[in-house]
Amino acid sequence: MTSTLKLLSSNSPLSSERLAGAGCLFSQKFLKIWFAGELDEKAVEHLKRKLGEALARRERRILLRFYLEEGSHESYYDALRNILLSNVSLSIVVEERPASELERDLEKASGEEILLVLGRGASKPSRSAGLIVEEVEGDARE
Amino acid sequence: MLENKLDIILTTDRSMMTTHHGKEFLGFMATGPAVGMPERLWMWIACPKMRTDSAGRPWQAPYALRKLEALLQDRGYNAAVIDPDHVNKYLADAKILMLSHHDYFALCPPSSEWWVVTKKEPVNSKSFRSFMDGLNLAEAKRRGLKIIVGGPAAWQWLYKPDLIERWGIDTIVDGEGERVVTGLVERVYAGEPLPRYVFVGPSDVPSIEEIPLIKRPSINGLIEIMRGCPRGCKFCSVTLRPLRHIPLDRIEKEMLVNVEGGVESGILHSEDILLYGAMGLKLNPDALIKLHQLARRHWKSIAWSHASLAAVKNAEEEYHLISKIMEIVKSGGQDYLGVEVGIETGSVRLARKIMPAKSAPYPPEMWPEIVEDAFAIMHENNIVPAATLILGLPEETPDDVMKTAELIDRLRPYRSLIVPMFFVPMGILKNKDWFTDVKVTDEHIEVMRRCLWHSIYWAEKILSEFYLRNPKYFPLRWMLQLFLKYATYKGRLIERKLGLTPLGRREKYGEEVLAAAQ
Repeated sequence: MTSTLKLLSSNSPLSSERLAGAGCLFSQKFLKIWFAGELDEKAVEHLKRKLGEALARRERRILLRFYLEEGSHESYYDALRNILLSNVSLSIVVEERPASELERDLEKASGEEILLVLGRGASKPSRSAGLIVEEVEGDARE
Repeated sequence: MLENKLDIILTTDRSMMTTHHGKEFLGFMATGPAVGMPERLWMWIACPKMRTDSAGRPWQAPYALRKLEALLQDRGYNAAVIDPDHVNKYLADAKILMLSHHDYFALCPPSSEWWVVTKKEPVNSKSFRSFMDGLNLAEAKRRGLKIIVGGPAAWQWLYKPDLIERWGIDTIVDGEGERVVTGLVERVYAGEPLPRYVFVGPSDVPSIEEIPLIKRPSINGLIEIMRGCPRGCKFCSVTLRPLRHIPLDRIEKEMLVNVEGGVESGILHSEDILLYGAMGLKLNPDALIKLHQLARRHWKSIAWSHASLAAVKNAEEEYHLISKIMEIVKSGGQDYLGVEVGIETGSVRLARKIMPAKSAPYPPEMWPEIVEDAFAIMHENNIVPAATLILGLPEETPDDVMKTAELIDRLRPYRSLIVPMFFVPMGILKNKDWFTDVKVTDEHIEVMRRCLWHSIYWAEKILSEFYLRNPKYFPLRWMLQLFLKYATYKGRLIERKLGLTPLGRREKYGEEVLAAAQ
């Protein structure tokens, strides 16, 4: 058994690097992308592009937070599926919040690095440190 | 331990919480609708009720649930796997309900294939819905119960927003859960909001040391010996995860948990058993011999979950390893071994395109030959494969499908079951009626009817000569034989309806098998 164990540990691609980073997924570093506005086709493509760019930059984990208006349920899942099922490499955590909480959350997260993507119908928030704002092809409201 | 209360309930529906009478292959029936008999009888054959203790804890439970149970108990949580018939009595006090399933809504093969062919909803999906609808969820949700769903079919929830709403599903976990679950539980205890969805990427799968050891028996003694697969087939998600070989001492501990719990036989689980301990795709005979000696020492009978056909051929031709392993297996009085294998296609062109490493160490150009050689090796060594193949692969041509039909013809002399499955691209799933949209071509029908007659012919022999020989299984065997007769009748009827030259006379098919063997 000893030889097998030796072989197994030397063969494991996980051993040293992985154990160093072991622990709860939620305590790891995430690239944070928040989205507000209508999650239409353009927005979905924009977010998929963001995931692709993150992967190219060797990011490993993305936190996607959606600020949702009430009653957008079914189309939201269609869009979510489209975004999520295109991914196989990144760890992704999806959070949902009511759209009304965006400003408050931005204030609370001041100083954190966040990419805020604004879709159709979303208002531009007041700027805060660490926040990068992108619009889905000029869809956001001034 | 339970004190009539549980903080965390781990469970699933009857189609998963069952021993399948100790015959894992019968689990295939749980993926189909009742055919030729009442659904109640079909469910009894495929998914008999599980024995439980007075607290409703099942004697055996799905391995994934046992892993989560161990993980949570190790962290001090009051968590346990509960049989679906007993969940309601714990719901009033529970904080979290955790569900796992292989195929919640019958969208994966072979359920989806059954659905396409019969146009009837498979029993696994019906059983899950009826289980969920039978829970007192409304009151529990009002009180703050959180529902977390996971398992290999977690992605299916993204197609069911109405059911997420109806049952109040809080979080979907897609991927290996060891580094996720306790974090979610901590959030629930802290009253923090849960994420809607978590996908665990390859960077966040647990190391071997982070994978807990089960504390109570798993269904039919199934034990994981590896995670991940290095073959990189394009239709498979397991291959994206890093390869981890579970050390023998950990495997032995789980074997003993099962044996001490009264489960005296077991299934070695991996995507490719013969790659245990391998350096990449180079087989490790020493590790495999030790693994089987260990299994022989503790188990009355041994089964494999999956093996690749290229590894079967390579193992025997280079190391006589199949014969050596079967010597070990047979030394305990067992005379056959069951396994699931993937043929996928008979087309070299498609094999090269979608699974170039599945044939390794041989080139993809040899794929049909590899399949046939591996079937011959298994036949000679009393290894009984349940083989699957995939129809409707992207870029598949009629010629590719006919190559598969020809390959099935060449496999006639070899004891096996062959099950065709439809490839279901995600894009098609966008349409809620996707299963009626699958285009079944004449060539697909040729493959499907060859599979049917091959499997009916061999199933009768496998049932009587190997699988259900013990007198205690006679009623079950009799019912399955009746089912095979019904399938034969229906198959002939369909052939006549379609104006096809019958392949389906069992006697005739048997003669052809013998002729092919000579």
